[in-house]
Amino acid sequence: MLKIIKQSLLFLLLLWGLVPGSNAFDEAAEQWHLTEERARGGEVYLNAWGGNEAVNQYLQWAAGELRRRFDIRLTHVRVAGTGDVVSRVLAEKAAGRDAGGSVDLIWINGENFMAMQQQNLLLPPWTMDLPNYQYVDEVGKPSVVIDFSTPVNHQEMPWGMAQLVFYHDSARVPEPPHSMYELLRYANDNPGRVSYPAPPDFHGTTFLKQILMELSGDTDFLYLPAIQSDIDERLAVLWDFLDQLHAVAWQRGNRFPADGPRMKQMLSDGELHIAFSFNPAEAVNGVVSGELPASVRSYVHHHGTLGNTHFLAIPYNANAIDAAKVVSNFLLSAEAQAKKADPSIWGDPTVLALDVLPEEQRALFEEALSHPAMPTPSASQQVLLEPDASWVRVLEYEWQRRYAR
Amino acid sequence: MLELKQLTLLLHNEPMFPAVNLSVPTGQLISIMGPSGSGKSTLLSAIAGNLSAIFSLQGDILLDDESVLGKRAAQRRIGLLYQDDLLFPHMNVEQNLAFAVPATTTGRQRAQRIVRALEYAGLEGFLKRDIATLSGGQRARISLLRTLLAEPRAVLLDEPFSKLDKALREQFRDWVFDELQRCETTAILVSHDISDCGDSRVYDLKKGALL
Amino acid sequence: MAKALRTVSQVTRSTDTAPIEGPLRTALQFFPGLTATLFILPVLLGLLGTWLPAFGYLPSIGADSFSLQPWRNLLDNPGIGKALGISLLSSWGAMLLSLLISCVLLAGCWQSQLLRWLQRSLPLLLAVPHAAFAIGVVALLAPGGWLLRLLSPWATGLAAPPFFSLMNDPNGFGLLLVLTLKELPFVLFMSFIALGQLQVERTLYVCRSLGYADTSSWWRVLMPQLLPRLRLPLYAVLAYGLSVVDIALIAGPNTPPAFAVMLDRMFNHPDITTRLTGSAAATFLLLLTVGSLLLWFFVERLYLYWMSRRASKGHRRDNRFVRSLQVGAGQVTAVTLLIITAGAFVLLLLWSVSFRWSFPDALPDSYSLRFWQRGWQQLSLPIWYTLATGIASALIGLLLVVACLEHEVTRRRCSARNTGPRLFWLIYIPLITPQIAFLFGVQTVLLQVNAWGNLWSLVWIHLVFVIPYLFLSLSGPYRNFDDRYLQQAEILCGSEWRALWRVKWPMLLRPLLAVTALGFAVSVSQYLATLYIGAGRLPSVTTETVAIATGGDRRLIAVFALFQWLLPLIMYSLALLIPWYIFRHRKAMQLS
Repeated sequence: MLKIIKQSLLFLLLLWGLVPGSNAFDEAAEQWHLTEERARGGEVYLNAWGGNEAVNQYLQWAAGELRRRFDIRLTHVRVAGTGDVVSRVLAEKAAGRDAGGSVDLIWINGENFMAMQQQNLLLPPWTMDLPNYQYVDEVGKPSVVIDFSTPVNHQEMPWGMAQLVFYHDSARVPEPPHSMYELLRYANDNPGRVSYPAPPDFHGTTFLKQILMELSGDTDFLYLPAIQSDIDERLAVLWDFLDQLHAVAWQRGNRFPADGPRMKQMLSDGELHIAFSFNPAEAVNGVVSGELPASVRSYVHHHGTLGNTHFLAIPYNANAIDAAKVVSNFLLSAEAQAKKADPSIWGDPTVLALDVLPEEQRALFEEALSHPAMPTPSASQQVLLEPDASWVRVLEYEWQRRYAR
Repeated sequence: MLELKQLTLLLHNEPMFPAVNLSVPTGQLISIMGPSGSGKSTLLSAIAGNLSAIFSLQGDILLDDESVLGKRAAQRRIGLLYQDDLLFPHMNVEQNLAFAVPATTTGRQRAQRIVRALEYAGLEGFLKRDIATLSGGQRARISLLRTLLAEPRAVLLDEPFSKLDKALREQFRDWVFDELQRCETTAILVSHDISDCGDSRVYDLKKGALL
Repeated sequence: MAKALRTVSQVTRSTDTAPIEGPLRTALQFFPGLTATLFILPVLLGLLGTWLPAFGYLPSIGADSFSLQPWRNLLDNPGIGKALGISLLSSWGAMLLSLLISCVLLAGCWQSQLLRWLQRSLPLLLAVPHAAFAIGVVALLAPGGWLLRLLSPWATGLAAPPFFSLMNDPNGFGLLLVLTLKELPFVLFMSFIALGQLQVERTLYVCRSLGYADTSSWWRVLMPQLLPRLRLPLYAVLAYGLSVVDIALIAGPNTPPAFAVMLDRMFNHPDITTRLTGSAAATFLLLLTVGSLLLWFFVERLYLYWMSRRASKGHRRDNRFVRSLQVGAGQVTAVTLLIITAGAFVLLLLWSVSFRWSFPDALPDSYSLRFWQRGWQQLSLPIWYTLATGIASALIGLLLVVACLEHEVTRRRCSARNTGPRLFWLIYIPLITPQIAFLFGVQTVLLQVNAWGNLWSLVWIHLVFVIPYLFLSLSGPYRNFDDRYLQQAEILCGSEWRALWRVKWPMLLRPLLAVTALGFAVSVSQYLATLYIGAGRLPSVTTETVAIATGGDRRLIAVFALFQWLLPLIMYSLALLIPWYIFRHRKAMQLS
């Protein structure tokens, strides 16, 4: 009798072992479960740009949820620029601090990401282990795998989408310009009321890129690394445009707004007539918070505007690696992404592929309010991909050489 | 008993006055007279232990047959009274007096001593008064009381009456001498005005001898 | 026989006359050395840690060979000439202007009620943190600022902000203005201290009897004596102007920015090798500062020489117009300073409770308290860190400084000469060295010993800046204290410690508390130090405020700035209230 039972058990065990795939699937789930367990009680320091109140508010909400659900304490370390954080990790690496670093998560993209990757400051590829990563829209949103022409290589997690969107006060400016040429004409008619932030602010650099995109006939060269000998020739059209613009710009091009938020404030006062931002819901946020008058409207250029993805990365020497991964996974979840996409909170578009999501989760996104200050839905279709990251430095340097004297 | 043995003070290696040989018996007062600048105050600070380092000292100072030169000022138990009363402005009368009473007394003993001291000065009821509200004469009296409450083995008085007006001076002087006698305190008084000396024995600093 | 021998030996003994000190005082002799080490060591280590990379040596990023490349990169940097120009203009301009205004004020308004009022409010003005002040002034005077809102559209006819703007102007004039307003109280404060050593009244009497008007006497006789005494404070002002980052970020230009801001950007650039260029720039800034100080030394000498020649000519010109112009100018600037400071404060209050405030309106359209709520949410941890660091550095600093000053008292009792404290100028080293020139080096060192982002490291770095100010403000009252009170107390109770604790320090309670509040204010104001040494783990109210100051939401910025302003204000109030309460029945201890 015993012998039969033993043999049946053995047989069942064999059958169990033969079922393909289930082992691997369970193993991944098991691994993640272990990660979540280890992450309990952890403290995660997320270093992110603090200049946007909407982001700060969103992160406060996220911190509350993380504490409730996962017993993780998320601290938003507000920084003036991502470069500061890269410095800090670098300084730690220099001092040999290869574990227990002061930064667990960085809000990052573009040239800063490239710098960290090149200097080996990042955790080895990790985002494929996140359960929610399967819903990321790698097909419809190619910028989630190629960051300014640098392959992401699963070393940073896509968090949200950004697109250059312009906005204006319809009470002062009934018909805004819908292209760079129109902008120049508008500035000629209204001298002193148009400007852009000075590079190296990323809004300013993007403005320059947008001009290049619209004015250069063939834009292929922008997606390749910048070649020193070509620069003067390629950028001539940009400097020509800017020389004309500066003559009628705010403060005649001798001075520039410090950054995007400052532009918003100047628009509110009426010092500037046109402003722009990477967050499509910037104008909505402004109206809801009282920073902008209710007559503000957003739009994009007919040509399309630059868009990219912004990410969260984990430094190689982070202190709370497991907790950081759990935080990232939560921020990638449909619930967190939907809340983020709500224009009355932040309005940052999601990186998830909505058609792949389960029904109830997709419904969360449809609840987002539609506000008159949001750009039209078609605007999000007119996205231009970011040029190679090397152009950022080139543009910053050349611009400062010409105009920052 | 307070003894000064061959005591001289040198300033730039020049003696300021002839060597002093003086014995003050216990409970008695001797006045030291000398014109301004003769070194009287310096002599007192030497005895008290506060001598500035620009002077150098020769000789010995004995209190009850024990040299005090090895001790610092706080340990010598020699009281010092100036023409400025130096009452502590942040304390009232009672606190100023209580500060001087030795720590070994109990609270009740302390209170009794203070009250009795004030009675001797004719200042009953002044216990809680703010010292800024007192007259010059009252402050001078309290200053002496404070010095005496610390139970010093000797008291030095540096021109203590010069800030008082003429009318009070004699009365105050008599009271001071009475108090010192009552407490049986050895004392040296220093002044340039002979009328300050009352009927005490006088030592002339310039001459180097008792009168 | 033995007794005879004893008598003989006693008689012929000539004793060492230095007063013998008790155990407490002998222990004090270690404090000056300890204190000096404490606040000079980081500076020296930091300088070294910045000089080496300036010449190419920073092994952590793989640069281990000496080269001059960082210097070449520095010269190639676009906009560097203009950045230097901005820094030099604003720092020298602020120093000269604040000096001139102080002199005019003192000469013209010496006996006036206004000056006395100003003197009383100086500690309060000094306590205003730099960042909050700059934010307030910019909000007041910017094109979209309150001044224009109050005057528009009825006086100026403007419906949108004008084009002309003094704040953030590309040449640095706005920065110059804000720096001048911030430095003026400091220069006045040090002038009053220096004047305490001169016989001002008597000099004026003498000059009057010789036929000179008061203002002339000031310029010809008193100012030449005042100027050398102000040398060290003016050095501190110059150095501050050249190296300040937070005010330059808020009120200064940004393309190109002031040199120190450019430096700060170099230290944080994603391209790692710019840190070498940054170190070279920091070293250059140090040389520039030293050069400026030397230049001022010569300029001062020249001016004094020229003044003495003029004065000996004996002209007793009593130009009434010039005189009343001086008096008027002095009064106007004093009042302007007070109005601007008060105005900035009120404006910040208004912004902090406003919801929507459109341009030409003089007052907000709608109000809301949500930003105070939000600010409190975001700042509760930084406030805690700021309080902890500030109180710790103020108290530790106070302990060290009082110990050193007491030791000075001991030395004065013992020494043959009435010497001032030796090496007093050491105190000025942290005030004169550009902060950014040594903070990077300190950061590197702390990282090596794993003490980065540590609260005690932060307190130590704050002590480096707090201790000099404590010395400057406390040495006056301490030196003026009549030592006889202490002697009496020691004689009466027999204990050095009791004499200090129950007599001297209570009598000095007011200055001691005021100086502690000042130390706290200095600690609160620290921006670069907290940024570089705190590693982002120890945010302070100041770092948070500057981080959002260049952003757009003025309401939140106002809330943050007010929090920064309120912290020292609270300490100062305590420093005033506590003695007022304790000494309420003691007439002699009331404020004169």
